Amino acid sequence: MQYSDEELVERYGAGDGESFRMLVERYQDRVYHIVYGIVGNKDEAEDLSQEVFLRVYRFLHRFKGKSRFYTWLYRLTVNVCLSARRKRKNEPGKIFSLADSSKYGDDPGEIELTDESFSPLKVLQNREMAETIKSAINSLSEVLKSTFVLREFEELSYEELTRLFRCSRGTIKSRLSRAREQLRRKIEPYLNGTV
Amino acid sequence: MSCKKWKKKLSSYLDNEVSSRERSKIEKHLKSCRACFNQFEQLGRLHRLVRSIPSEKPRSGFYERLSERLSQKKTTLREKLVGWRYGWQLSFPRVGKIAIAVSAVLLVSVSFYIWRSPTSYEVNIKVFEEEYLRSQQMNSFVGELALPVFFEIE
Repeated sequence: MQYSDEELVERYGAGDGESFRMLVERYQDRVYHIVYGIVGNKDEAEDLSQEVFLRVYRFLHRFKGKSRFYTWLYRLTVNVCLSARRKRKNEPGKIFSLADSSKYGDDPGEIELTDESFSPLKVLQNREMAETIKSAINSLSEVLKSTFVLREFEELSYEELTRLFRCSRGTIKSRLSRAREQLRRKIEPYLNGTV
Repeated sequence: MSCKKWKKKLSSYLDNEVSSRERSKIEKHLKSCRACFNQFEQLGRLHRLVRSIPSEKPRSGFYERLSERLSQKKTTLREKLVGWRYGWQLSFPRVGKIAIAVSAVLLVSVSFYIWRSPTSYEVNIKVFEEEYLRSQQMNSFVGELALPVFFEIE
């Protein structure tokens, strides 16, 4: 039987430990992907993802259902990442370790190509371009990067982002606009296909 | 509206987070402004580029590793509670230990003193009793004095 998130939280509160495991397995990939997008290191992403769920285990009883569970979870995820980055503020973080991905050079899977003159695959196959994009995203401030990652990776709506970050819709619009503009300027040659 | 202001709306337009009225205005402008159209095209490519990045997943056995960490955390807490008795000897300098000990003794002493001191209610009762007895004595004394006076007048 497929339980909803809220049902699993309720069952966990009633003492069903299995419900916690089901929540973890449901969200572990997404949490990991978000964390990896923010910190850019696989080992650190593993460690921080575990930390996220340790906090879920510790604070799940405080979740009162005022928001969707995933909103609460993603907020916790962002906070864990931002806390970790603040502790390591002198150590430059990395964004996606694209060079580590075993997918490049192998079958890349399905990529939607709506603009035939521009091939993301071709761009990403160029390691130099990949590093430049990585560096550009990493240069964003933590808040802009978190907002950008959650929008692009998790496809959260503006409404969901306002609830997660507890800010206005205008703030979310502004953050995404600024993040994209900064990235666009930094990697413009790659977007034009001139590199 | 200047192109600078139109360009600020392109991100929301890309996300389909604009009203239908605003969408019409933006699309009308994009058809007539090459610079804004180019910028929008670049935003679209950036968007597709990022979305094309493969989703990263954790290594298998994620929950098992998490369970192990949970167990370790519980054990650590237990150890901390048991080890508190010994741990504080190592964690505080001598001066700190003396200060803590003195404070604890003072706290216990003050608490004991407050507990043993008669309450204001008890004090009032005691005072009342004394006053009552004194008044009784006074009454009997006055009575003894008054008797011969009455007799003498007569």
